Amino acid sequence: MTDQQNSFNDVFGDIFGSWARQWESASSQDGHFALAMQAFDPRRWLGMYGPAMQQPFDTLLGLPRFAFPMLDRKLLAVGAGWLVLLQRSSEHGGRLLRAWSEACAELFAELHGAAAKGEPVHAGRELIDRFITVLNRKMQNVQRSEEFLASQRKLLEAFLSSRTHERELIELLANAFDLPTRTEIDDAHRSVHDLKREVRGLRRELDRLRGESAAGHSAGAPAAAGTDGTEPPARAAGG
Amino acid sequence: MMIPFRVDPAKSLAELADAQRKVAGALARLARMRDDEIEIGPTQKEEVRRIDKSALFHYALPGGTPDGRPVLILYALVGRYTVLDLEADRSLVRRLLSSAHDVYAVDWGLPTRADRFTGIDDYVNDYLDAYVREICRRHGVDAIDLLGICQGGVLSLCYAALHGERIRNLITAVTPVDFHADREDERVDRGFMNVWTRSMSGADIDRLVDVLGNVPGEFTGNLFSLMTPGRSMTKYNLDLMEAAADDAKLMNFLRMEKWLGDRPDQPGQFARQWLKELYQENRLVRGDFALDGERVDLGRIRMPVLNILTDTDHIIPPPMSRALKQHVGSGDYTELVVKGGHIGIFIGPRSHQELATRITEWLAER
Repeated sequence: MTDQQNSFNDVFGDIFGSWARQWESASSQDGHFALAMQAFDPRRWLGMYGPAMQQPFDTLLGLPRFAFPMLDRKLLAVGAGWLVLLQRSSEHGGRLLRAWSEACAELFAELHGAAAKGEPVHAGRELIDRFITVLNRKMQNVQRSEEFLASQRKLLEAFLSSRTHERELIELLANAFDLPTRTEIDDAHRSVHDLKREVRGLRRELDRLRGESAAGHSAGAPAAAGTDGTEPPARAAGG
Repeated sequence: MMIPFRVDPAKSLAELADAQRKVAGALARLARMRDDEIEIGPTQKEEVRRIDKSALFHYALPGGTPDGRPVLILYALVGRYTVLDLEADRSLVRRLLSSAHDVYAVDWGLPTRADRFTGIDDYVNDYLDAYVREICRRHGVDAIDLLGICQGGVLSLCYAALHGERIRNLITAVTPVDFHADREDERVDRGFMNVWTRSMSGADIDRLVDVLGNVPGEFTGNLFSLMTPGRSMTKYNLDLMEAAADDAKLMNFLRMEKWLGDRPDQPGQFARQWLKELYQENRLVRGDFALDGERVDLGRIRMPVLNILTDTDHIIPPPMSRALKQHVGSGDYTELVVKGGHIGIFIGPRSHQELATRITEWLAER
């Protein structure tokens, strides 16, 4: 081997080695190539509202509180709530997608079985009907699974949390402009409801007492009118 | 790889042409129809009394007011009572009127957020009690016949247990009694509501009600759709296309849609009691369900009882209704199994007729 050849081999070795190291680095778990490839992975799309996006909200919301009204904190909580809701929604959507994929696989298995027996599907409507039957069966089973029910519960909880954060923000603004809040209106409704119940209870009690009183008097005495605005009872039926 | 189907080109093209013809026909028919032409609840009725958003209606056939025995029908809160009078030819109300009953029905109305604190206590001890008294007063009787359907059946049971002296005969239809009895005969195609409710904790239900105030009708509607996933998926394409093949079928389809779209919200407190105390804790048969502090003891139901159920009810699995027999104190208990679904028995062309006939016969003997 000549010096020229040795020199060429060294240079080639350096270039190849460098390229191999670059490739190795890029394709490692945290490498650029792996990161780029993750962009094509559907699991990444479904999980895009995950910890990476959640972290800034958690960090900011975790900062010490001050005594003055925290509009920014309420806003951040709304944003964080939306993110969690999107994340849960994606996770739940992923489970639905998986159930659909499994139903498709089951359909194909059924179709293969039928074709092997010499009974292939010949028309589109038959194919659709078979798919609906398989999907219906699949979904009814999946919907009862612990995993699915837990996912549904998490999604509902995320929605309710998000809704609570939105309401807190709106109520902060409403208070600032002297507008009634949902909480105050609910309080008023509770009071009205409790009062109505009390009035109806008292009316019933009054009618009962009147009935007892009327029964104690002569049979010819006129019956008292009901306290709820109705006509007096045609026969003694308690009002 | 072997393709597991051999589509026949001629057959497929024929199918495609047929589907296109149906879609075109459906679109043309839908374009001609107007929402106000899709009438439900055609039987003449008069509002007798109103309390808050609920109302008591008295029905009459054209040409006169019946003067038979008063029967009060209580439908569920989860849907409107109008399904019992969907159209002239599919109307349980009309069938009962034809059998010389004097028919009343309660409309629970469309609760708003202002009604979030209205609970089962209010529905039974205030609204229902006032309506029963009103009918007694109008007819000069001490007691009436009560027909409760689904949730309305539970309200009827509570009322009969607490105010039994005002109920002459009690009829319950597709009514849940033992809310855990679905486990006796678990099947994937029925009882999803039981499974879903039990997958939640009591705190989950509280949070749902605390945050939303009421349980929205759309929410309940979605839960019902989950029970029949295949049907829900084909409803607005294949089913609609088939239904639109003629005017009468399409009108039936649209009437049901109108009724389904009119799904009320469940008042928060009502939903809390319904989902927690009944569905989760099964208090009605445990014997510790109480209204206004008074225990609802089904053993105190001593009037004749007719319990109607269907073996193909996907919302209230039959064992949930059958359980009534073990808990009522009545010595005159009859169980009637009719063919049809949870709603189908009230609107099916034959089933609603059969139902009315059997109810009339049973009442006539008592």
